[in-house]
Amino acid sequence: MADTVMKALMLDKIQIDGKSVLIVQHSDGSPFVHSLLTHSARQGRRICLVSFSQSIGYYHNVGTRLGWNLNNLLSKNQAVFIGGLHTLKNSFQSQCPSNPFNFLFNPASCPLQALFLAIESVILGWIEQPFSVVIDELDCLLNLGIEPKEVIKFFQQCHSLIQTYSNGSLVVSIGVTPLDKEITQCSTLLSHWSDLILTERGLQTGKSRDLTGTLTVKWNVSPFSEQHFHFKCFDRGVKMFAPGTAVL
Amino acid sequence: MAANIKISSFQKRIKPSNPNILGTKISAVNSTLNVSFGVTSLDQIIDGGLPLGSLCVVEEDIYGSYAKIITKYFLAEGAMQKNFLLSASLNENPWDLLNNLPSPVTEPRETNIIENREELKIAWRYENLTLEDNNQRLGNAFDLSIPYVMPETQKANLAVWGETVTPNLQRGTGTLKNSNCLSLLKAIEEAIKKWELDSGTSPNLLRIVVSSFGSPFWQFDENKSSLSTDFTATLLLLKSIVRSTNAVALVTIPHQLLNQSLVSRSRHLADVVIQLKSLREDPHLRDLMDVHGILELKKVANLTSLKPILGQDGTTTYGFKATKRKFKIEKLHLPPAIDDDKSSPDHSSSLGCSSAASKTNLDF
Repeated sequence: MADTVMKALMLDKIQIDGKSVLIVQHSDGSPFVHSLLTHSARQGRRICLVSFSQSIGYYHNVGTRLGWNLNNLLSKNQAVFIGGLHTLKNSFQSQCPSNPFNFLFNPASCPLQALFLAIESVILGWIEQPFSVVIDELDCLLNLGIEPKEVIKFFQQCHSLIQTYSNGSLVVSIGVTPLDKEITQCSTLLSHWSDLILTERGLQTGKSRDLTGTLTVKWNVSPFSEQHFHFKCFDRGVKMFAPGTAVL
Repeated sequence: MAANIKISSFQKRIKPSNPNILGTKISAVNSTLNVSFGVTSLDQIIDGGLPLGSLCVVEEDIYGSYAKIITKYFLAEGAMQKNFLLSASLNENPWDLLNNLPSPVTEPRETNIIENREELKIAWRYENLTLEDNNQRLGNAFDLSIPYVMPETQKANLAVWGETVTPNLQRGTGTLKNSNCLSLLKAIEEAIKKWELDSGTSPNLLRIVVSSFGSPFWQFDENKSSLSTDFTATLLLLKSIVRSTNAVALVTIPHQLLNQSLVSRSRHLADVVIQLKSLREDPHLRDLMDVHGILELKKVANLTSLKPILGQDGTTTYGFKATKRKFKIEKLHLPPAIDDDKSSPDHSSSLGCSSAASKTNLDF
């Protein structure tokens, strides 16, 4: 299955090093997180995957369908998984301070510090090689009770990591709904700091078997373009179409 | 030549023995283990049931009655399969739910089997539709009017959590402050430890039902400016607990009482979201349809691949009929327009266009 996502994002021509990508998902933007993960894995970049609402097994399962093996990379130390449902559960059972979710149960002045330090320690081991930091569903932090200003501060810290070590890239996905003011404000703020913004929406009139949704690609740096695509998710990949050409 | 000579080096791969978990079926689409809902028509729509380890959120109808029926079916199916059951509720005594489960009945099989389906000459567009009454019984049938008397041996498989059960509650010190939530999560943890469901080799599973989560009894203190994040944090923690053990959680939320942003956040969090809407709320639609309510699959997450799971034949909106004995889900259709005097023609035509949900089988 020809994966046309990278061509649509122009990432086959533009290097992702030193750039930050923001995926704003209105319905389900996970196909693009997985596509970017696949792209990083194929290029041989080191991956630091941070997740708040899914388990390692989920990324592995979807990854195998897309052509890369997360467990392999984890065992070879080319990928590191931080967070996830397992860590969340452990934070409830045993409350140890190095667990990034410990802020749920013990008061902390800077709740996301443990999480950021975990990410930074991984990155400092990888300075020489190209790496990608992928943070899935940043809005889950808001769901866990962290204030928006702390989440913004965390994003700024991760962003500065990428700007210091120019062979890294940052991918952040954030789920929004129009009714939710806090999250919409956060995502608007983050979109000003990102180089590439992917806004994914479902179809306005419901669900369809021909299309899964629409994607808007906006570059804040060199190509400075804004394009619209339609996409359809298959078992083994995602296909992108120009609007209206899906059934041709 | 009595000696056994190995001719080829072929070795049969022996799969590590997987204990067959009671009450689950392997899904044809996903190869996940799916847990039946108890309502066979709902199972057919959601690909065999809920995946094991997932969190299902049911957005209740306005009085919560149909959601309660679904939870009763869910627990009754668990009782039939001898699963462990945990019922949590602050609105009412949680034992009430467990003592009033529908009992199973065996419906008499239909004797007139359609042997040769003739080619339909006039109504040829109906040929491709799936037959609703399959002779293959896919699951148990229940009768809501007869309460199920649980055998004594199974009473040890039950657990509850509710106001009368738990003693003094303490508020949390971190960002998760609500004492009811912390106490519920602790009770679930204890049940899992007691029944050893996190060992990975248990042949049984736990069905957790939380009724009316988010109702005022739970005391989520919400000011106008901030949302109660304890609600979403508890759902996320529940999902994390359930994902790593042999358990499934069904949480019903009174979404009309809650802040809409909270509801949309919980939709992002959950794996399967079902919305029930009773037609008592909407008097216009009631004239058009012969169902008692509308069931919408707001989200069915695919845990193993990117492909979206749409319902049967691609629709996500269905109708349901709830009688004194049965609860059944069916595809929406306009009833035959025999009495045209009841509803004025303008009314029905405008609603006919706007209710894009109803699947009319005739398309010109």
